[in-house]
Amino acid sequence: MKKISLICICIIIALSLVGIGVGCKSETTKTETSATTTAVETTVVETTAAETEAQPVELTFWWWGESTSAGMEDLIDKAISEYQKIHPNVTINAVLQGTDEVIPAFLAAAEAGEGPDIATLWYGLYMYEQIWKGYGVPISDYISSDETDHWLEKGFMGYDGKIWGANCHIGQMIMDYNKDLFIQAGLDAENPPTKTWDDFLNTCETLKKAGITPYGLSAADGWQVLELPSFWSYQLASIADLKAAVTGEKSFADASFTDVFARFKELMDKGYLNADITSLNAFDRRLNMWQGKYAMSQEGGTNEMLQANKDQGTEKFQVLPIPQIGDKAVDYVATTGVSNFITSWSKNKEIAADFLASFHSPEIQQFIYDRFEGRVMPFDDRFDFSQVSDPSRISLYDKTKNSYKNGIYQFDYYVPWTILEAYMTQGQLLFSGKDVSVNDIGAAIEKAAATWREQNPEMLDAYKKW
Amino acid sequence: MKNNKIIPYLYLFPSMTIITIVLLFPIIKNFVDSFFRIFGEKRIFIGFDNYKFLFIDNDILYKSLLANVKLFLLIPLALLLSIILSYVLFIKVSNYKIYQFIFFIPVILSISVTGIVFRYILRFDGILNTFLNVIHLNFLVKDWLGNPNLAMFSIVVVMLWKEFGFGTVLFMSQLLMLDKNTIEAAKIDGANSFGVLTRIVVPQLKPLIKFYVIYEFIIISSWTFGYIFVMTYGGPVQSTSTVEYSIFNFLYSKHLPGIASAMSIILFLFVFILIFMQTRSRMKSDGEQVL
Repeated sequence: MKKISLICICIIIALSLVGIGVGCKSETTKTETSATTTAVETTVVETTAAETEAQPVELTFWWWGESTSAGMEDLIDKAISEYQKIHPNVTINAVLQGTDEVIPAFLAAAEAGEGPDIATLWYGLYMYEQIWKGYGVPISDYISSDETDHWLEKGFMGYDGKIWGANCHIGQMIMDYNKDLFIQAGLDAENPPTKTWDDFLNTCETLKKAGITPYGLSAADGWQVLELPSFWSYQLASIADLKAAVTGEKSFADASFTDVFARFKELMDKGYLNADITSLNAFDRRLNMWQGKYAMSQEGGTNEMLQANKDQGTEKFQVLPIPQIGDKAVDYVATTGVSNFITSWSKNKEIAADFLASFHSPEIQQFIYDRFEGRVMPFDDRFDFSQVSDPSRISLYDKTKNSYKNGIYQFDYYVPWTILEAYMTQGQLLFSGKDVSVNDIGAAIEKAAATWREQNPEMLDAYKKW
Repeated sequence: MKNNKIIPYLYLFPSMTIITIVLLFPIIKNFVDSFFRIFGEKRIFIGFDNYKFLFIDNDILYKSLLANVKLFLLIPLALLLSIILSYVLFIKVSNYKIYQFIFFIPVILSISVTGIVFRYILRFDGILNTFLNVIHLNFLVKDWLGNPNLAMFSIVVVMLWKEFGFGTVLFMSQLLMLDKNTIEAAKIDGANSFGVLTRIVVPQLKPLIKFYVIYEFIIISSWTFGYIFVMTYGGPVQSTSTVEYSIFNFLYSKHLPGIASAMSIILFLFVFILIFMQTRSRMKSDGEQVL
C-alpha cells in the first residue's frame, strides 16, 4: 500500500512539474520579443474614453505618501471627487499602501498579472525596473503632448521617447538647522555660517563647545546614508557620472563618490555627530531633531520640517545652506517624488491616464498649494507661481524647478538596490566606529556594482538607454 | 480482496492531492525557478549559476547561515529556562496558574509589537541603558542593536523572552501528570531538589524536550523574519541578516527571484537535514528503527 501512495504522490509531483514546465515555456515565448518592451501586448478588451460615458467603470488606484506628507489623503480624495463629478460612471477605489508594502505588494500583483489599474512606486529606478520588466505602459500613449508638456516631472518620467508616469506629490531633500540652538551657541541664526566645509566645521566646533550635538544622523535602516550623496557627492560628480558608475564606465571607488565618507569620518572622529547613529532609524532621528537634540540634520522632504514648525508653533527649524565643497555653487535641491503609472494588465488604461492627468488640473494644483500651505510645491507650469510671496519658499521652488529641468533627483532613484545596500552597509560600518578606510568603502561599493551588472544583464541594457 | 486494499486510498486521494499540491507545489516551483534568471516575464535558463553565485561567488549565504547559527544559542537557553521555571512552579508555587498566565503573555504578543517595544528598550538612548546609568552600571551601557557584535545576541534575548513561556507551559503540563509519589520517595531517599530535577523530572520530560528542540529549530530557521525586519532591518553591517531576511531582500529589494529561490531551497534543505539528524539521533537513542 505504501507503494500505491508513493505512486500517487509521484503522479501529482509529475503533474505539478509539467504544469510549471508549460508555464515556463509559454512565459519565455511571450517575452522573447523584447527585454524592454515599451508597450506590452495585451489581449484584454480595453475601455476607451468614449465607452466611459456609456458604461460603469471601476478603477483601482494604489497610492502612497500619507506617512511622510500628512494630508495626502485629502489630496487623493479631492482628485477622485473632482474626477467623478465630471465622469459619474467612473468609480475609483483608492488604496493606501504602507511604505514597507509598496514594492512587495506590487511585485505580487505583477506576478499574478492582476491588481491595481494605477500603481505607485517612487521615482526613477523604483518605477523603471518594473517598466522595463513590462509591467507598465506609457501614459503618453493616451495623453497628448500638449498636456504633458506642462508637467514638471515629464523629464524624469521620460524613457525611450515616452512618458511613463505622473506625479501626485513632490518634495525636496534639505539640510536643516535649529535656530534656537544656534542662538544658544552664539552663532548667527539668521545667516548660518555653513557656506564652505571649513565654515561648517567651525560651526560644529562652536556647537560642540556649547554642549550641543552639532549634527544628527541615523543609519539603522540605512536611509540617511543614502541621502548623503545627494548633498555631497552631487557637488563633485554629475548625474551623468553617477549613471556611468552604475553602468561600469566610471567607478564608485572614485574620490568623487567616496569623498562623502571621508568627510563624515572626519565629523565622527571630531565628535560632531550623535553617538547612537547605528541605533536610530530615520524616524527616530527625525523625532530627536524636533525635540532639539541636534543643531543640524537632514530631511527627506521639506514638508516634514515645515510641519514640525507648524506643530510647535515656531519657525525655529529652517533650511540650512548646503556647504560648498566643489567648484560649483550649490544651486540645486535633490527632488523627491512618487510615480503613479498605469499597469500593463489594466483594462481601463485610457481612463486611468485621464485620471492621472487630472492631478495637473488647475483646481488640483491650487488645492495642493492651499492644503499644504505651500509646504508641498505644485508641479505644473500652468500653476500661478506669482501667488508665492515668501522669499525662502520662492528660492526653494526655483531650485526645485532648476533640479527638474536638469534632472537632479535623490541618489537612490538612480542606483540599483544591490549598490544601495553596499552604501548602507559601508555607512553602518563607518558609523559603528569600525576602523575602515575610505578606499575600502569605495572598493566594497564598486564590487557590489560589478555584482549587480553581472547578475542583471537585461536591466543593465535597459539602464544604458536611460 | 485486492480492491478492498485500494479503496481506502481512493478515498484519501482527493485530500492527498490537495495537500501534496499545497505543500509540494511551492517547493517544486521554487526549485525550478532556482535554475532561471527571471526578468519580468522573461525567464532565462542558467543552470546552476544561482547556486554558484551563492556558494562560490558571494559570501552572503555563509554570512546569513552564520546569523542563523548564532540564533541556535536560543535553544539551550530557552530549554534550560523553561524546565527550571516549570519545575520551580511545580514544586514551590501553589497558585502556579497565575504565573503560567504571566509567562505565557509574551507568547501571544505579535512579533511586530514585541520587536517595536524592544527596539525602544534596547536603543542606545533607550530604557535599558537609562536604567543602567541610573543604577551606576555605566560600564554595561552598550549600543545593543547598533553594534554589529551585539545585535544578534540582543535579538536572541528578545526571542528568549517571547519563547520561554511556551516551553514553561509545555513542560508544566507534563509535570502535572507526574506521579508525585516518585518525587516524595526520592526525597525520602535523600535526593535534593537538583537531584530530583536531573534524575527524575528531566528524564520524564525527555519526549517533550525532543519536541521542543525541533520546534525551536524550526522557529529559528524559518520564523525569525519578523524580529529582524522590525528590530534591525538585517543590520548593522548585515550582522542580523538571516537566510530568511536575505531571501526577502533578494526577491523584493534586488529583484532577483532566481537567487531568492535558490536560497529558499538551500534553507529548506538546511532545516530538513537538521531535523532529520535530530530525529535520527532521537530514534537511535530510543532504540527505534532508524530511517
